[in-house]
Amino acid sequence: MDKQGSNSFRKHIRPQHIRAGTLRFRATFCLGGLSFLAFIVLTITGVLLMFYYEPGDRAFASLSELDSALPYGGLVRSLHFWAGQLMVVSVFLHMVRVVWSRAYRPLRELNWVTGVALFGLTVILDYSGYLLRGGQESGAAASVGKNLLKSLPGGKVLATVFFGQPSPLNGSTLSMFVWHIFILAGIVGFLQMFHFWRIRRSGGVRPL
Amino acid sequence: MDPIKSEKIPLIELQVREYISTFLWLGLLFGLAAGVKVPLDSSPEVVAVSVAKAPWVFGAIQWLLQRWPVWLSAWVLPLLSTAVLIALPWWGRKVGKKWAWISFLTLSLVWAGLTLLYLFMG
Amino acid sequence: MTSDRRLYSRRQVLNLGRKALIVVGVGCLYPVSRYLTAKDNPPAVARIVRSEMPSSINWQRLGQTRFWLRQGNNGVEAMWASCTHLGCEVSYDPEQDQWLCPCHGSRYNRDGQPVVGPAVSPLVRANVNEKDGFYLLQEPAV
Repeated sequence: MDKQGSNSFRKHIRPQHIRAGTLRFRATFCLGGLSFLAFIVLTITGVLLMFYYEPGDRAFASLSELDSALPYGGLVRSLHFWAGQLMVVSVFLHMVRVVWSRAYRPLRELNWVTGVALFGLTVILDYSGYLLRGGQESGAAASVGKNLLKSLPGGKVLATVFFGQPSPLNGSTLSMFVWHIFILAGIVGFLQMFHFWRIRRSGGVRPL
Repeated sequence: MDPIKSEKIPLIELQVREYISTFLWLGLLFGLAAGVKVPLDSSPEVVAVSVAKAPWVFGAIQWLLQRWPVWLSAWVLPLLSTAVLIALPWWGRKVGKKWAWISFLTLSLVWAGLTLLYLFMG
Repeated sequence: MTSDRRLYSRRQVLNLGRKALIVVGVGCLYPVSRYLTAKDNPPAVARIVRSEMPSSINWQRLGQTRFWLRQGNNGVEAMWASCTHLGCEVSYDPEQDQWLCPCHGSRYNRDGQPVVGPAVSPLVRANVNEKDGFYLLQEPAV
């Protein structure tokens, strides 16, 4: 329809007009949008952290160095941490808002399930990020998590695939690193896009 | 639907509000990042700590694990709650909007409450 | 509809292709899991020269391992310092004469019997084998 301009992609992914009712702050409290914003901040700060963070035995050392010796290193790490915690909280509150405004009704069931999956994945991302800190607490958290997985039938394989070989004093491993920065983050990114597409497809955010 | 609510408004109105929310939230984020120090945990090189606190996201499960058997605290209760959550659109329709909201809120408050309990009461 | 007299219709090829992908996908699970679990930790072992064996009756940790040693009534005893609740590393506190777990508060008496906490099973002893002047310590099998 449009000429092949740089504007056409933007016009394609956003509706040109929206219902007046969706402008109300109390319709959504911006919670879904803020969750996505948090994800963007996490991705950017995460990539920055990747330049210096070393998973495995050097995790704690590389993080302390980043925190204290690098200019703005502490800030990048702080932003990554806080954006992460804020994301868990805002995804949770977003879920509460969705239930309150009954936006799970047909035909939105698939999007609801996608949303619950996103919530679960966000929590797991928080946990895996915690393990990557490489401190003693991360080692204990990894021991508990790995043993919990091992207690399932066929769990030994799952446990190793997810956790790798953590030591009791250090939960950071190369395996956990790959899950956190690539697999889990990638799935969350993709599911978010799907989530937004479905919202658009079902007519956008409905006023109550 | 309310004719005023369904009146069509150009996108820019939403975008302006989104920009404002974005910068407010970023302000909050930078405030937290600059103001509250993020701890680094205990170094693996020093003497073993006597209490290892779990990450707060699993605080509720930690609280349960301290009291009840593992199969219940770590598997049955969380998975059951998740199943109830996923199936909300279906059972919600059966019980009606009031009870759907009440049940959901109760479930959420229980988990949130346990998390807070763990955070502040160890 | 085309009037080609081909062996398979397009729909059949697509269907077959989809099924083939699923079969290949499931088939990949075994090799991939072998690949990813290849470096799984073998059971821990440690070796210590007889002369360096701690002679105290109090539990002493061997380096950075989970092996703790003491002189018992019948010779050397070794404890595997893993909490029987969920596997966190426990440590012996001589002042309280108890093993403490940092994760959920389990406590064991000096012989490894659970005193407090979610743990119900006693701590497991590590195997001690003497050979040629060395003590060989082995992580207990689960």
